Amino acid sequence: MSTNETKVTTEATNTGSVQRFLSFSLGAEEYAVPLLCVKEVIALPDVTPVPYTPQHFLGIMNLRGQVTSVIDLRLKFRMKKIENSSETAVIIADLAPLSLGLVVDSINSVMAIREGEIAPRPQIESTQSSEYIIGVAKREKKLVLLLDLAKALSVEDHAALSRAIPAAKAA
Amino acid sequence: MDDFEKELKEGFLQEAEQLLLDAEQCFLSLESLATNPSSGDRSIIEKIFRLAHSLKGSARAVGFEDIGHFTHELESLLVKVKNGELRIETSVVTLLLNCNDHLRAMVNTLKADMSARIDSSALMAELRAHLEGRAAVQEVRSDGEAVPSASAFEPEPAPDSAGTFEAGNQANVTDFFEALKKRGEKPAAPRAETQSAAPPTKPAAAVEEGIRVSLKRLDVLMNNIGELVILQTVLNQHKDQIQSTLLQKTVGQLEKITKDIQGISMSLRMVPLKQTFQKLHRTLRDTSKTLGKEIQFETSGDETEMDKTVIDNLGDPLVHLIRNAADHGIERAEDRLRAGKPAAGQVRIRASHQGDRVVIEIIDDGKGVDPAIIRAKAVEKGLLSPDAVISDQEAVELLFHSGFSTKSEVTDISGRGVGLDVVKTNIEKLQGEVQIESAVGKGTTFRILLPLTLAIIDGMVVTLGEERYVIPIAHIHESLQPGKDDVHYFTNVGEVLSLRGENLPLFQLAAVLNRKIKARPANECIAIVVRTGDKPFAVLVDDIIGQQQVVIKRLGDELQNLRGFSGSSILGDGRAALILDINELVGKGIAKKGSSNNAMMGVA
Repeated sequence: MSTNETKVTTEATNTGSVQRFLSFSLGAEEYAVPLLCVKEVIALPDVTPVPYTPQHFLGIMNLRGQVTSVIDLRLKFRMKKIENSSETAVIIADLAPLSLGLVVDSINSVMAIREGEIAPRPQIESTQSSEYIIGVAKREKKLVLLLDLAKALSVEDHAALSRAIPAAKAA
Repeated sequence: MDDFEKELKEGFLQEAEQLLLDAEQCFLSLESLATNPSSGDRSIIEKIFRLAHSLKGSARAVGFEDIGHFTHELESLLVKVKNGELRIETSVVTLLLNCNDHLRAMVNTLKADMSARIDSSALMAELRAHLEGRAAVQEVRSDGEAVPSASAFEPEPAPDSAGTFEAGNQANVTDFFEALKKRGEKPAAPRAETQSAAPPTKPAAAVEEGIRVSLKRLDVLMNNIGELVILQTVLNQHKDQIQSTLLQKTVGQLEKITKDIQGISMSLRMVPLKQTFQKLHRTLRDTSKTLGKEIQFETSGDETEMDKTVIDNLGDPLVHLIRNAADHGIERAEDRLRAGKPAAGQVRIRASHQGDRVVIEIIDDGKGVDPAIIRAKAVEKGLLSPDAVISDQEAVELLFHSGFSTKSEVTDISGRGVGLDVVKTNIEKLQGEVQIESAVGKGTTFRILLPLTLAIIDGMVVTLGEERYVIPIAHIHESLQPGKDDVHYFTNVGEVLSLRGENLPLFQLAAVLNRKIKARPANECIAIVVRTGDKPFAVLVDDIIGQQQVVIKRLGDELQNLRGFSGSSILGDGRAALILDINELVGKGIAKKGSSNNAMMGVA
């Protein structure tokens, strides 16, 4: 969500302001998203696969009567697929107008991060855009990557989905 | 403006919309009254008068002076009509309709901005002209037809009022018309007595009481009821596990009530087609006037009810078809007479129920569609190869292909290159279909078949491996377990199902959906025969779980580009399932596979 993003950047110039993030794990790596765009966290429900969607698009689920799309964040970031465990959770993200479920390996905590603690994203030579990374925060010797969900998901996924629908092939 | 006042004004604007719709219909019937005065139904004029009066009253009460003002002057004209001082003729009806349009525009403007001021001077001037009888005199001169009543309302010299009248000075205008109106009312007195003998018509409000509910609130209710239906299905499926007989009984009773609630909630969204048809009447009137053709309009079945969403999306396609009928269908009067038909063309629109579908037919008695011309045109446009052999019906159906406009000159009315293909697409979006039937020299019938509602459909739940999908029953012609000898495979054609002597292309659902699921032998599967599309075909699924009513849930925006699925639904066990648009999914495959389609070169 762009509003979240602007909030982060404006607060960055404002010494001492605190932003809250929800941190979670993907494999051994730790990530966090602004708490404001998290609607709720649920255990992994039954997910119905949807044909002609990219691999990271896990499918659709029933969220109390609303059909909601579920994206596997691990596959989205091209990580190795990890077996689901009791820790596996779905973050329901509110990216108005979209509402998406994101599968993560485990939910860790809500972190309050001072803007001064956010370091700019590491500059790396990569074919992949790193624009969706807000920055990096350090927590007890571990680094946490702060994500801008809207940038990480919707824009790119919209394009990916429209590309990923070829004509149905005859039997 | 405080909240109370705002609410009052909003209420008025909603009411006004309805009043204006009613009024439009009355004006149109007034016109038929004019052409056929023997019917002599004066109650229609009474009704118009009442409508105008209540509009004026309410507008003034809530403080919309502009509307009040304008209606007041309109009323003055109506008084003349009512008293028979002004003869009802086309020019008058046109003026009345223009006034109606103007009022509607006013209402719409005010809806957006309640403090808006609207300039009505142009129409007011026209109204005045008619009131003074100027226009009528012109009419006499222009077509040389005598207007017997013209002398009856020859304006008194009235130099005094005309003298004080100044354009743009509204206060004076009002006084002027007040005076005119008073004058107009006097001779009406004896007439009023005779009329009071007739049974007084009840005001419309007394017929059926109702309240207005916003569609948004209705949608919330529908959503919750959908949820209720799903939970009820879950309860029913696990009823046997309940130990207590009391609880079991309660679940049973609950089911009945849930069904009732569902039924009622569905009907809440249903509105009659009447208003849509009324708008079409107006469209046809304007179109025929522009074209200079005389066309009679007839509707039946306008009480047929459909889901509001369907009706809202039906307007444009219907308008297109009506204009099409008037422009391309109905011939000019001289051509009609030469063909031995009455000079006035006829366009009929008919709605009826057919099973769980609504059928709307647009019938004209025009020149029909000549398959030979269509064929030639299709070849010229490269849609058809010159040596292709297609039936007349297939040729006529080519009209639905994009870029096909048979009338060489592009007119204002219809035919801008976008044509019937848009109608077809729009109707298909509503889960419906369009058919065309035409006989050269006799006329054309467009038939639109639509589901009653888009919110809940009857679906067949089928399985594919562990996966489940819903296919709308409306698309399924039959389902069967093919015998071993019924399925044949050819490398260059694919699988073929022999069904009672007919050879249908057979598709594996797994392949159609691009799922990596191992196909089972065909004779262990179920073939589902679909005949709703252009060509019949069959699809092989693993099994059928059953038939059930499914509440359609929209897929999220992130999936809006996904084609081949008309939505999703939540099944009895609480899991989501996709609803297949089987024609769309298979469609492309057929074009590649079917041999008869080779004739169609450029058609996707």
